[in-house]
Parts: sequence; C-alpha cells; structure tokens
Amino acid sequence: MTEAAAVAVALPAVARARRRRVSFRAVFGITVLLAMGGSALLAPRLAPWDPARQMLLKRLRPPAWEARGLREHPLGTDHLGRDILSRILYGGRISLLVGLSAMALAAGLGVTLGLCAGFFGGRTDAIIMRIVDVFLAIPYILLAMGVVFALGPSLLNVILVMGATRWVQFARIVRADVLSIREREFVTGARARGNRSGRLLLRHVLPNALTPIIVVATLELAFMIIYESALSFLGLGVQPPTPTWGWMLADGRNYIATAWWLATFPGLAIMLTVLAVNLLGDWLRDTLDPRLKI
Amino acid sequence: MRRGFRLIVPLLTLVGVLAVVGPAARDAARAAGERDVTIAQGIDAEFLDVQMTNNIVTLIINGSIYDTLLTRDKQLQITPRLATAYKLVSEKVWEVKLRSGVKFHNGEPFDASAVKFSFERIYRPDFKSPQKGWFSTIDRVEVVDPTTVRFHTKVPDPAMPARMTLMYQLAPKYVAQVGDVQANLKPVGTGPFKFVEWSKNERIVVEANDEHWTGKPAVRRATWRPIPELGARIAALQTGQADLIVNVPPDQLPTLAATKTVRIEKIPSCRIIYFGIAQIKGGALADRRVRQAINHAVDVQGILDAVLLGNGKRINSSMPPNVWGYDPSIPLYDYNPQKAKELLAAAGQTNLTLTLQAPNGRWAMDKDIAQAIAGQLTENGIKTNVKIIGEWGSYVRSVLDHKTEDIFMNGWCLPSLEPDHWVTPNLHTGEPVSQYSNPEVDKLIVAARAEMNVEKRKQLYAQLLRLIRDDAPWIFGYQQMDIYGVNTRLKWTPRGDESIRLTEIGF
Amino acid sequence: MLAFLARRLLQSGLVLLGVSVIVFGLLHLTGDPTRLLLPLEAREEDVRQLRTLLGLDDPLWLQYVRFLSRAVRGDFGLSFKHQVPALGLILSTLPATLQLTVAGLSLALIVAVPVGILAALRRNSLLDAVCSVGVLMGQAMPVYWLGLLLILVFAVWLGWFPAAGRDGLRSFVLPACALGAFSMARIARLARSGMLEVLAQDYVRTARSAGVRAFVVTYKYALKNAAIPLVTVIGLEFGILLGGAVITETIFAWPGVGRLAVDAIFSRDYPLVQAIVAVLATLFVLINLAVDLVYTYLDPRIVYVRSAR
Repeated sequence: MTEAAAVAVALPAVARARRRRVSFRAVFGITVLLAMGGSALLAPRLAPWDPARQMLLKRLRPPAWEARGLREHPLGTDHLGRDILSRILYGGRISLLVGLSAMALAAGLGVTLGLCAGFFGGRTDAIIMRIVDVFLAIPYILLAMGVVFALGPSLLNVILVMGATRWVQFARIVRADVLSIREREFVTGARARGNRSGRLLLRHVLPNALTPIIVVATLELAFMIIYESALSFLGLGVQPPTPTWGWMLADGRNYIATAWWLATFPGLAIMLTVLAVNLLGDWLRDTLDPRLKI
Repeated sequence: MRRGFRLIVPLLTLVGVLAVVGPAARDAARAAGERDVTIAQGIDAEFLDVQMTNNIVTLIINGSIYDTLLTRDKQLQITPRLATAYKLVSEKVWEVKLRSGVKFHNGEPFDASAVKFSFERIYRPDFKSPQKGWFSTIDRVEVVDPTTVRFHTKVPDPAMPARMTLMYQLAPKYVAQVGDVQANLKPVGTGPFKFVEWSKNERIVVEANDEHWTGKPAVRRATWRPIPELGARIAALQTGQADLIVNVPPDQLPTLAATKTVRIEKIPSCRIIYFGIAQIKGGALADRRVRQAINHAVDVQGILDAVLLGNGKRINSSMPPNVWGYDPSIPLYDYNPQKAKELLAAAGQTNLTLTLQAPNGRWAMDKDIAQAIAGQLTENGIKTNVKIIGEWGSYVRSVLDHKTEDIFMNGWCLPSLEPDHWVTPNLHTGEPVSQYSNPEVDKLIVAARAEMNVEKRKQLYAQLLRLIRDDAPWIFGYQQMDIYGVNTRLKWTPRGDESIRLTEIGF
Repeated sequence: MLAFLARRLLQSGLVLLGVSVIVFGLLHLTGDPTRLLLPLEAREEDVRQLRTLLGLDDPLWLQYVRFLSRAVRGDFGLSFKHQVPALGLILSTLPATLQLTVAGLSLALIVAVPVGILAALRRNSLLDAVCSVGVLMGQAMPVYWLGLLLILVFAVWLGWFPAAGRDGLRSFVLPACALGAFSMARIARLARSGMLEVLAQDYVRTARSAGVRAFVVTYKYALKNAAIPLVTVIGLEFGILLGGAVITETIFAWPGVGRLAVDAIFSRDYPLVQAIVAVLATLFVLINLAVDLVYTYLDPRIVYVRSAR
C-alpha cells in the first residue's frame, strides 16, 4: 500500500484523477460477477424449464425474437429440444462451482507450498521450487488430459485435475512475497519474542501476503472457466446431461453457421464472466500493488 | 551490455520470422490441377502397410494403392480383380485363377507366390496384424503354377469369396528387401494409384498408375487430408480446399445446401447402430418380455426423424439390407408404450431402472440419440440414466470386457460383408462383442456358418434373424445413412460399403 | 557467473528427472492398452503375450529404470499405434508446432506490446480501458470458439485464408491469431505495468520536465528497461502456448505435436505420450535456461535477484 501511495503523491495529476473516477473496471467486474453468481444461485427459481428435458419436436428453435422463435424459449432450444436459457442458468452453477473449487484447491495447495518454501528457505525451498519447475515444464493440458483420462471424467476429477495443475501460479507468487516479508521488522520482532514457526506463518506472514494471493486468485478463476471449456472440447470435461457452459459451447460449435444461438450464448456467458473477473483482478492489482509482475 | 540488448532483439525476431517463413514457403503445396482431387476424412491413415490395419479410413486410403484378389462392384456383388475365376475343387479346397501380366508399382511381377507370401505374412508370429481373425479358417495356400493357387480351409467355408475381397496383395521381393518399416512408409502395390508422399497428420498423396489393367484413371493425383474438426472439414469443402468430405451429420446439411459449389450424396450404409442389452447380467434383463418391452417403449422412427432428420432406416433384426442373408419380411417392433407396460407388468418389473452407455462422437449424433432414447424410456416407465463415455478406447474396452452398463450403444459393419460376421461376434455366446447367450441362436449360427448350399444357407439365416428379432437381445436401432459432401465439379456417387474408390471419381 | 550456470544446469537436470517420474507414474494409472492393439477376436493368450512382449508385467520400479535408461539415450521405444520410433515421430512433427508457436507468439508480441505501452502512457483514460478490454476479450474467449469463428468469417465468408491445414504462408494467419490471442492479454498487461513502473521513476519525471528532446532520449531508455521482464515472460508464455497449441492444432488440422499428443493419449500409446511430454518439457527447460542466460548477460545484477527467485 505504501508504494502506491508514494506514487500517488509524486504524480499529483494522476492521483487526483484516481481519486475522482470510480474505476470502471471494478464496477463492471463486480456487477457482472454478482449477476452471474446470483443467477446461478437462483437458477431453480429463474429457469423456466428443466435443463435436461428433451422436447424433440421443438429442437433447434431460434431465440424468441426471431421468426421461428417461441415465446416460451427466450434463447431458443438446442438440438435435443432443451431450453437454452435454463441450461445457461444451471450451467452457470456448475461452471462457477468448478471454477471456484478448482481455484480454491490450487490456491490451497499453492499458498501452503509457497509459504513453506519462502519462509523456511534452504532445502525445503529448493525442493519445492524444483517441483514447481517440473509442473511448469509439463504442458498443463497434456497433464490434465492424461489424468482425467486415467481416472475417468467426472465433476470431482475435473476439479482435482484443474487444481492440481495450476497450483504453481500461487506458489511462486506467494513465495516471492514471503521472501521479502520475512526480513521485515515485525517478523523478526515476533520471532525474537519467541513465536513458533507455524504461528508466525499464520498470524504474521500470511495476512501480509494476502494481496498477491487475492490478485492471483481472481485471475486464476477466470482461467479455470476457460480451462473447463477446453477440457469439454476434448470430451474430458464434466459429462452430460449435467450442463456446463463449456460443454454447451463445445456441443454447439458445429452449429455456429446454422443455429448460432447454441454456441453464442454459452460463449458470451463465458466471455463476460471471464472478462469481468479479469478486469476485477486487474483493478485489484493496480489498487493494491501495481508492481506485481504477473 | 545495453547495446547488446539492442542487437539481440531484432536478431531474434529475424531468426524467428525466418524459421516461420522459410519452411512454410517451401511446403507450399504444388498448385492443384484440374484433374486432381482432395479428399478430407476425419483421421489420418494409421499405416500404409495395409496388413497392419482393420480401420475403415486406413483401408480406404490403402485401397487406392493395393488390390485384392476379388472385389465388390457398385452393387456390392463380388467380381474379379487380381483373381479372374475361382471354383470349389473339393469341400475344403478352393482353386483360384490369377490375372496375368500384372506388375507391382516397382516393376515386380504379380503371381501366385505373391498370394502365398501375402497370406503367410499376416500369420507371422512377430507380425502384429489385426487381420489375423479375417482368414482364420484358411489352413494354407498352395502354389499350383504362377497363375493358380489353391486355398485349403480347415472347415467347409462358404465365406471364402467374401474373404478374398479382403486379401490385399503385397510385393514379396520388395517387402523382403526393404523390411516392414519401409514397406509401411513407402508402400508398393498393384493398385490404380501409386504412392507419392506421406506427411503424418497432414496429407497422403497418390498419383495415377497409367499401367493399371483397368485403364488410365480419370483422377491424375489424389490427396488424402485428415481434418478432425467437423467445422473445419465442412469449411474446407465450402472453400474448395477439399473436394470430397465424409461423415457429414444431418444437422449440417442446411449449411452445405447454401453453398453453390457443393452437393450432398447419401447412401444407406452397411453400418448398423443398435443398443445391446446385456442379457448375461441376468435379473430383469434375462427376461425376454422385458427386452421386448424396451423395444416397444422406444419410438425409433420418431427419434430418427427428429435427431437425424430422417437419415437412417430402421433395422428389423441384426442385419442391414446391404448384407446377403437379410430378410425383409421380418417385422419391426411397433412403438407401443401400452404394450410395453403390459409386458413389464407380466414380468413383474414395474419399477425398472437401467443405465445406458454411449460414446461421444464416434457415430453421427450418437450421444444425442442415446439421450433421446433414454429420455423416451424414462417417459414410458423405465427410468434410464445415461452414461456418456467420451473416450473411445475405454468404450471399446468396456464392450470387449463385457463390463458395460445395462444397455450399450454399438455400431457394426465389417468390410467383408459376410453374413456370419453380422451374427457371430455380436450374438454368439462368449464372443467378444456379445453379452447375449441363447443356445438355440448359437446352434443356428454355427449351422449357417458352415452350410455350403446357397439356398439352404439363405433359409437358415432367415430363420436365425427372425429368432433374434423375437428374442430381442438388442434395441433394434437403424441402418446409418452415409452422407458425403462433394464438390460439383466431381462426378461421383457413394458406395454402400463405406468405401471410397478413386477409380469411381470422374469429372 | 560460472557457479550460477552450473547451478542452473543442475536444477534443469533435476527438473527433467522429476518430469520423467511424473510422466511414468501418470501413465501407469491408465488402463491396459493391449486391448486396443489387438483385433476384436483376440484371445486372452494374445493379450498376455503382448503384455510380456511390451514388458508390462514387470514391477513398476523396474519398468521406470528401464524407461529412464533408454530415455536418456533418446530411445522411447516404438509408438504402439504407429509402430515407428516414438522420438523420430515427434521430431518430425515438432517443426510444425514450433512454427505455429513462434508465429502465434510473434503476433501476440506485435499486437500486445504497443497496446500495453499505449495504455500505460494514457493511463486511466478511455483508451486505456478500451485497450484493456479489447485485449482481454482475446483471453476471455475459449480458443476453439475463436478459431471456429475465425474460420467462418475469414475462410468461408471472406475467403481470405484457407480453412485448415498447413499450406504456405497464408495458412499460418488464422491459427496464429487463435493461438496468440490468449497471450496478448498477459503480454499487454506486462508491457503496461512495466512501462508504468518505469514512468514513475525519478529520472523519467525529471526528463519530462526538462523538455521534449531529453524526454525522448530517456523515453527510449525507459522502453528498453520495461522490455526486460518481457524476455522472461517469453519463456513462460512458450509453455502456455504449447498447451494452447493442442486445441488450435486440432481445429485447424495442423500437423503438429499437439494433435499427435491428443491422439496418443486417447489411444493409450504409452511410449508416444511419454516421449511427447519429455520432449516438450525438455524444450521448455532449455528455452528458459536460454532466457536466463540472455538475461544474465544483459544485466549481471540479475544473477543475485534470480537466484533468490
């Protein structure tokens, strides 16, 4: 926080502009996320149809505002006659659930390892960093494919795999931050007072490393949503009939030229959510610690 | 130091650009001629050593380079190719006369020793050929003279002519000289086209063999391209990058209808799609009434119309009309939910819950049809869950290991078009793809397999098929419609055995 | 300096060892590939024979040691599916992927760096917002969606570029766009933040107030310094791009390693998958090693910073 304030003081014009304007990015990001999250939570209330219900006689109907559209299917129907709007709402639940869980898993793993590496240093650090390097070297998608393939695609496996391949991002950033924090006075002071390592980590070091964690968490959430859709494209994502945005997009991709609504709506859902999260992450980084090099 | 940096960046960029531009410029395809054809399929050929494969796409590509002893014409009747005549000398001996004056692409002459060599190569212990099962009834090949061979079979085998349509001929001296690996990378056959180049996952190029005894092919040069993504494959056809594409799903027809340079060709395929019921699991599934009820509870025609837009024809038993032995008089199961309920009640199974498994993307709209069927069964009193197994390898494994769910979707077509291959592997007790056991059916299968009298054999098959229909080991699905997209400058109509013959393409 | 180099080499070696363990262990979680290699009618003895032939019955650690000792000599065995040496197969398809990755990265750099710098110069203005959002949209779209839309618009409707395959210079454009779009956001962001940081420093502010000419001179200096972090990023982005290449190559029917990998994983082609991951990981390690060396050559002070990385 101090660095940012220093910059603000040094460049008066910029500082004034900053204080005056509410960041568009933050507003956009938070609004979209609330909308997505809200509709996902309220899906059972909002969705007009059962997302798995096939109405074969009404397949491939365009959105309601088009000529062949039907009022009861505002966003149209897919190739099995399922209502797109309902599937988007319910799909959001799964996609966001997968994204958040995977991100949480990655964060949990990565932060823990990063803290240990940064704080304990020495051999622990060397070992953990080598493991990080190993995971960085292997293309994450091939690793994910291999594992999902081996264990079979299911909601749990997908989350596990996604988390297990992306923890590295958290580990590196946390470690870097911890390295600089641990030499600061309050830590050495606490140590001198006889605090044990574990307590030290949790009570003094972690709260100060929170900033980069939050930034990375938002960015990784965005990544996870795209990642899930990539796995669906390869046929290794969460399996039907559970709708997810990724699966809907993958399914609808052959209809881009004819029944454009099958792919466009889930695609837009993904895009808006990812965009919002990314912008939010950007804003957080700029506000909390602009020097963060991610 | 900084100055060094100034130089490095542009230097790296230059290297990078050159790395990109150089090879790309060199690889630019030679301009396609008027009589050149590009065919886009979903996957690349696995091998160009035709004996190493049983995969239909690979066989199609290899079929332009290699010839078989006999072949099937457009109407799927067996006709001569490298063999001009054949006759039964005794119950277990077939004498085959070979065409004379035929040469392999490298100049080596084709004769009886090539036939013997080709057959024996498949059964070499160290040779990993999936074709070992195709000719397992043949005991040995006897060379009588350079244009005559005799096949000695272990048991009377009326399917010999069908097997001969799958006997691809390799050049003995060439293979012995260059070894198996090179024979795969630089194939030599007697076919109407000669091998030019193979760039893995990119293209296979063959050019016309003007010395072929069938005459100069109309196509001068053909390129086989693997384009796995359907959208890209269709786009390639629309932009003219490809002249012929395969496996167009019915839903894409409107896209192509709008393109003036493209026309659609359809033909009922030899491939049938059915839903096997794992009767050997016992319980409810072992009761014939339950299986019949399942058949009555599904409106196959309705689903075909809705999902495949009518591009599929219901099958009445386990064979499609393309296969000899088919009996058109066997009735289809009518869609009758009421009757289904009655049958279930009679069997005491009013609360049945089943699981249906299907692959994803193996056959046109497969998972969608599976979901539609499961949905319909559920509506009609049989709660059915769907399990989609996206990965084909696991799917095959579950079928072969007999570890599938209660109902499993399967597609079936063998290039031999031999009737026994449509009943033994899928319905005989203990066979790899069969999760069904019925001693009566087994007896008929074995009898029909060995019956040398054509009339009697046909009757046996009719009887067998009717029995199968009544015992309902499957949900009888449909015969697929093979849909191709063709550029209007080509004169070509499809074949009912899923094959594409370059010699059948005109302009 | 030499000590640093030695240490980095040792680290790289350990990393590769770790990669080999993971790859080996991972693949033994999968099922049995023998069923896929044999025809439908295969008997149990055939299956067992094949397992022995391929050495799948030996204890795991023995298989690993065997694998490792051969791998260091470049022998990854024969690909089950293609029946040719795995390494040779990969090396023959690698150029295609490298070409695509270089094209994608170049495109990303060409577009994103100026955008990032521009955004930094006009910080918090509308231009900044538009640039951020524009570049972020590329990262927010799943690659295959973008790819298919590009094909639809630029190949089918406009006919400017071929729809698929690798056929000359024009066929690079669409796949490179699809592939590079994802990296553009990250690169632009880095360029922007790097530029911002440099701009905030004293010498720049002084130059700014000292007059235009002085400013221009220091501005170029600032630019170069802002570019240094980008060099590191290139190494990392390469790894990410290789991952994205898997999907891009499938869509555009590009004959590269990505497609080979997808195919190999789905057909349980053990030797080929192992070889692919090993080659790609080695490539990644080598590239990052090279990047580190370039870095230290440019600025030896970094040695201290990076060894504390």
